Amino acid sequence: MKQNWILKIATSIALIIFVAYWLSTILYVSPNNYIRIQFDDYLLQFESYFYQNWAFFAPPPQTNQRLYYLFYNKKDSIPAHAYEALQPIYQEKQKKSPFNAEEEALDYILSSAIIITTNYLREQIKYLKFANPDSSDKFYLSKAHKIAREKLPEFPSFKTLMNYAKLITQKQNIDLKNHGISLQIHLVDIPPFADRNKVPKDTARVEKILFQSAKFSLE
Amino acid sequence: MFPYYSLLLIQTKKITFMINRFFAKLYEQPKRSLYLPVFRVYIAFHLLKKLLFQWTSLETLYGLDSFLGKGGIYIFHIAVDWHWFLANYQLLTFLYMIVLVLFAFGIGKHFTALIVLIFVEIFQGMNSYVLNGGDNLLKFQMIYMTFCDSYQYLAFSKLKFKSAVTQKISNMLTNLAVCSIIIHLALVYFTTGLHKAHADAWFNGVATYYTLSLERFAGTRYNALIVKNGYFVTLTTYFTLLWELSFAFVVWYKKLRVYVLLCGVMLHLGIYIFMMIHDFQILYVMTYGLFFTDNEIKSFASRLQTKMRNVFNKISFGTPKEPEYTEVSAQ
Repeated sequence: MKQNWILKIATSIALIIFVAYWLSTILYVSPNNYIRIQFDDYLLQFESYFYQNWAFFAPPPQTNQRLYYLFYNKKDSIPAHAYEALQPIYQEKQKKSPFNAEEEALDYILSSAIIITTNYLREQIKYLKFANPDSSDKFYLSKAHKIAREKLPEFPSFKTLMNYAKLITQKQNIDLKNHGISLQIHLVDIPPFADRNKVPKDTARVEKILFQSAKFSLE
Repeated sequence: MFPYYSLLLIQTKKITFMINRFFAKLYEQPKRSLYLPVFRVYIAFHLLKKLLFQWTSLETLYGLDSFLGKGGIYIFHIAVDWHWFLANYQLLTFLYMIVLVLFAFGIGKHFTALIVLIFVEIFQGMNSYVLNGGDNLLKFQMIYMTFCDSYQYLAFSKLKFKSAVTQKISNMLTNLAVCSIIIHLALVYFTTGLHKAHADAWFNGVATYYTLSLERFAGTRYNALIVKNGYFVTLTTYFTLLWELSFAFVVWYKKLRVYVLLCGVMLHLGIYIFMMIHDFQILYVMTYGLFFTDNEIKSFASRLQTKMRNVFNKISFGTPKEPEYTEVSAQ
C-alpha cells in the first residue's frame, strides 16, 4: 500500500516536470509569437539553464568574412603591412578535412569573435535608429562605430582578435616596438544566384568595410 | 437523457482505459533498451574523440596562457572562478577522460552520467567560441541520459532493483528520457525548418547556393562547381526544407520511418562532406537508432543475418548442389 503511494507520488512529480519542461521548451524555441511574448520574463529564466538555438543557416549568410590586421609604423599613419587572417585558415581546414580539428577550432574562435563584434555594432545602429528616428544613415553609422571603438576593447571577443594579432606578428616577423595595429572586418558579397555563371570580371565582388578598430600598441 | 448518459459513460470508460494503458506502458520495460547502451557508448566515444582530436589545441582552447580573451565562466548559470578552471585545464581534461571511459563501460551508472553532464557543461563553459548545434543538442541528450537505464547491455553489471516499485520508477524515467531524446531531435528539425521557411533564400529555392559558397564551410574544391547547377540548388534547397518541416510528423509512421531516416542520413552526409561540419552530423544520425524498438532491431538483425548467411554460402561454396539420395530398402 505504502509502495503504491510512493509510485503515485513519483509518477505525478515526473509527469508534471516532463509536461512543464516540454511546454517551456516548445514555447522557447518557437518564433516570437503572441503567447511567447506573454511569457518573456519566465523564458529568460528558462534560457539561462536551457539555452538552445536551432536556426541553422536561416537565413544563410550571403557574404564571406575577412579579418585584416593593419600594422602601422608608429611614426606615421600609413599601414606598413596588412595581413588577412581567415583565408589561410579556411584553406588549411579544407585541405586537412576531416582531420582538421585544429583549424576548425581556430576558425570557430575567430569567426565567433567577429560575429560578437559585428552584432554589437548592429545592435548599436538599431538602438540609435530607435532613439533618433529622424537622423540620417551617416549619423547612425558614425555614431555606432564611435561607440563600438570605445566599448569593444573591453570585450573578451575583441581581446581574442587582438591577441591573435600577436601570434601573427611572431609568424610574420613584425617588430612590435615600432608598429601599432588596427583591425578591419570586411564582408565580401557572394555573387547573387542569378549571376552564378558569370565570369568573375562581370561580377566584381563587393567588399565592404564593416568595422575598423582604433589603433593599438601590442607591446 | 438516456442516450447522452450512456454516451458519456462509454467515453469515460474509453478515457479511463486509455489512461490505464498509458500508465501500464509508462511502467513497462523500456522498448528501446537494445540501442540505448549503444547510444551511451557512442556519446562517450564522441566526447573522447573530440578531446583527442583537440589534443594539440587544448592549451589554445582551455588554457590560461591561450590568446583567447578571458571572461566569466558559467556552469549551470552559476559564475565560477574561471582562473582556477583555466589554470587546471590539464587536470580537468584527465578527469574528464577517465569519467568518459567509466561512462562507456557503464561503471557508476547514473552517477557517472551526471558527472559527464557536469564535465560537458564545464568544457562548454570554458570555451563557448567553438560550440555548434551538435554541442547544443549533446548537452540536452546528456541531461536525458542521466535518467536513463542504459546499463542492460554493454555494461560491467546490470542495474538491478530490489523492489518492484523502484523498478517501475526506473522504467518510467527511462521511457520519459528516451521519449525526450526523440522529441528533442524532432523539435530541432521542425524549428530549423520553420526558421528556414521564413527566410527568402530558402523560400525561393536558392539557399544551398549560398551555404555551399561560404568559404568557411567549403568542404571540397567542387563546391563552387556544384552550386552552378540550378537544378541541384533548387532541389537540394526544397528537399532540405520539406524534409526538416515534415520529419516531426512523418517519422512516427512505421512504413515511412526507414525512408525518412535514410533521407536524413543523406542530408547529414551531404553536410559532412560539402560543409565540413563533422561531429554534429554523426551525433544526429546516431540518435536515429532510438526510433526503432528492440523487436524491430531484432527482426532487422535476423533478416540481415539470414541474408548474410546466404551470401556467405554462395561466395564460399558456390550454389549448393542438390544432395544425391540413395535408395535404402526397407528391412
